[in-house]
Amino acid sequence: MLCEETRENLSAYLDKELSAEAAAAVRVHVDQCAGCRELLDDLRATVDVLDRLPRCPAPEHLAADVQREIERRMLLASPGPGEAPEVPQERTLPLHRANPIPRLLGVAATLLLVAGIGVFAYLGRPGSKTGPVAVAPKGAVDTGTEMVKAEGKPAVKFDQFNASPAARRSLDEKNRMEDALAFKGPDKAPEFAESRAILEVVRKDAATAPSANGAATSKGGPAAPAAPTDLAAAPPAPRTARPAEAPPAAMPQLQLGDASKELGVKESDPKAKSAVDRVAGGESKGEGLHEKQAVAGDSYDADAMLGLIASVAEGAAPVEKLRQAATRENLKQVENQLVIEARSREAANKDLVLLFDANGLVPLAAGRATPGDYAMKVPAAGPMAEEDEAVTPAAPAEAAHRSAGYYYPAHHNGEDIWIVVTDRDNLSRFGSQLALADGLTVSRTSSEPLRDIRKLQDQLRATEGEQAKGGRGGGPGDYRGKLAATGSLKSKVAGKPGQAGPDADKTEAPYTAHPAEPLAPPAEMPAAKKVQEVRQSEAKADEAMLRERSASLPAADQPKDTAIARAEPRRLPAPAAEEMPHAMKAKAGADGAGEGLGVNAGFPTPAPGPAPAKPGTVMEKGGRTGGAGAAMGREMKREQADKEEDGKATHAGVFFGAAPAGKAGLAKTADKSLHGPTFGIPLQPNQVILVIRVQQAK
Amino acid sequence: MIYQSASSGGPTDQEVVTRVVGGDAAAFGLVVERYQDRLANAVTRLVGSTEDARDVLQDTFIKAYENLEGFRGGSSLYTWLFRIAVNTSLSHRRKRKWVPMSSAGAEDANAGEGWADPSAPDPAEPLEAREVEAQVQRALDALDEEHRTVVVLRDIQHCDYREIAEILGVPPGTVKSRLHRARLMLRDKLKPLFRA
Repeated sequence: MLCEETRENLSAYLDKELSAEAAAAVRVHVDQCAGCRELLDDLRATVDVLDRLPRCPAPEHLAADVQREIERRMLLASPGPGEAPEVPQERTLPLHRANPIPRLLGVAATLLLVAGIGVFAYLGRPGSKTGPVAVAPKGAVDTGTEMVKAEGKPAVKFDQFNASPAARRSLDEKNRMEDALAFKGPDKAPEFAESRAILEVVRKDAATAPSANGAATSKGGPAAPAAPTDLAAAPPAPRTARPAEAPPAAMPQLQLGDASKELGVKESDPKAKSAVDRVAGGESKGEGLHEKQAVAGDSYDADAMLGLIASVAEGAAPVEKLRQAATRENLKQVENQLVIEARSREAANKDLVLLFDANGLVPLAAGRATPGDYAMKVPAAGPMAEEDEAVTPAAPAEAAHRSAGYYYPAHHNGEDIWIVVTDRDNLSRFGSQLALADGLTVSRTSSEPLRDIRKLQDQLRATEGEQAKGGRGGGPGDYRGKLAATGSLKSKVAGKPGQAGPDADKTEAPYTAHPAEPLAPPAEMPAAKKVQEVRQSEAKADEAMLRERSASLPAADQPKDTAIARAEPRRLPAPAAEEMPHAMKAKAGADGAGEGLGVNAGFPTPAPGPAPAKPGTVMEKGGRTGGAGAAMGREMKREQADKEEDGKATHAGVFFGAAPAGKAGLAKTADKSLHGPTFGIPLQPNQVILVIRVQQAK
Repeated sequence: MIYQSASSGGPTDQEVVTRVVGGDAAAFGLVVERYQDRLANAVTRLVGSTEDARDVLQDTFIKAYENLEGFRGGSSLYTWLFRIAVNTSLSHRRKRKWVPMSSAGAEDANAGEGWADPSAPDPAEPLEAREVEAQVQRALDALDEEHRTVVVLRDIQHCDYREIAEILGVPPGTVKSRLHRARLMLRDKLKPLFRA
């Protein structure tokens, strides 16, 4: 055998893949040929090096993630509102259809749509015994499961019990997508109601105003379709059906981070996907939603994140640690850097605190740096567990860490820095509110998605400038004053639910960062009035709900040994008048003490006095605030409707924000000395970290 | 745990497939649990980072689920899954490869500002082991995809030539020649790591 032929066979010889005869020939040649023997040794060493590589384990919770994605796709495969079912073979009917939401709520069709979808998601969440049930042949209904049954065909079965967290998330996401898509664009989605309201005023009163966002302004959007009262009656596609291709939703105007990916439904060509051989051949064009889920960071541990934040805030670690600890997987969640240029840093800081508090963010206090201090301990099966004795509590790992988010002051290189951890929706609302604050100008040096806030600010100011020139309005602050004066933001920030509503509006100063600016609304602002009316209505409903709920929740029924603090209202020490944000001084003066203000003024000193609502506070929806008014109001109403439907007494509050964590999967970083035994930037699903830097305006 | 492993007398792959196709979506979790570790090792080496591997693995299993009815049992489920995983990995790398220069520049800038290497090894591991692993991974990454794939399947995943041929859809002779060339290329890069 020649060297060349032998060398070609050396690898196969090593692998014992040669026939006995060929192997013998190689062996003989190698014994005689030093060059081939040397090559064989090298190849053997190469294989040895490769063999010594450590094995890479599968990502934690991969099976659960896959299961969730499967459930999600099955849900997405069901036709949306107004869509004709493509495969009318299977039927499912949630219980709530028997008790239509419209009758209970008695509000506009837009609200009904959201409420209907919300109840659907609500019923599907863990802990509810009123989950969707199937219309199936007798005997096909399985308690605790969702059956999707086709005549003569096997049922597609959701193990709702075992996969309830995933199912819940899937339903939540479906809810959001339904909202966005059914309204022909996410700028019609409820979580952006406030932004829409603001822009609506701007558009109508100043048609010549430049667009803050092309997508937002160009999408007038057709009228909302009829409320999906029979949403759940729409038959979900069978497992074999491919999700209907949905148009990718445009970016909402103040969507921060990567939420657009969650809204976008990008599905591949069903034909391509259905061809298994093509998939196996690598020709599939499929790009599933799971790719976006990875961005959302489903497998992080809130404890370590909070510990890291605490370390940063206490000076034990520089802010850069947040970035250093970031892995590519978390990159998009951590990179949100919001730079604010303020005429007065102190005033800006106070206003920021106001906004944080208004959004239900919990201040992390010094001396509470233990991650566990911030863990939200909730009943294992969630807030509704008491309603449903039949529901076995979820795994403990899935039971903790729920809150609207956290904020913490830090200081670095002469800048005031706020580290905020919250969910994307909350962040979007925060951005909307931030755009209204005169004294908080978002710098163009902020991270890319956050610059949209600046665009909106520019738009608002340009509009105000035009109005001032035309003598139409009261100059800068018109819209802010007009909208904020009637919105739930102010009343909820003030922690005076009883004073919300029109009466309160007459006496309370409108929220603004700088009340010295003219606040009087122009005489004629029909659009603004409409916004006012809507918001007043929402605020009234919210507050009424809140009062009712508070009354129905005796203190004895509150969980005693958990970190849940009923945050309605938030009774906090009144800050000194000089420490109060500008906007709140008048309010405090009117109310006497500013009780329940919820603002822990002072920077960078963390919240003084008693813990301003326990870390890990779970805010009730209605007590939460402001910018969230519309969306939260709807959720409250959905809950109320659900409560009425079930004839239950009450339940112990509403949780929102991120889904249960309980997943590890921490990415390792280069610095293990950072904090404790876990070192990633662990986030709960849908959570983001926002670093706000307050700079002196030049 | 809901499911039993195959080794403990659980259902066979074909039985699981039948259940899933028959509508028991939850049964697919058994498939994932059964094969995730084996796939993860190969996929991680193919795509070069654990973060990307997570995406690819999830994508792989979703594709498998969606196309499970097309699995006829002609090959093992393992081989079939691997075929999807390999192609998904390659597709993922190709997509990643076409990142616009501006974005790539941004990544570089971030890296310069202190972003951790996403595939940074565990600092608790001995430095030498980490360096070796990183060097080997770089060598693998430097291979073109067909050579990288075959060497991963053989020398990391320990598939035999027939399985590799089935996974890649190429004749065994092609596997043999590709593998030999891949090893020759790796030999040059890994020689400093050879044991004395």
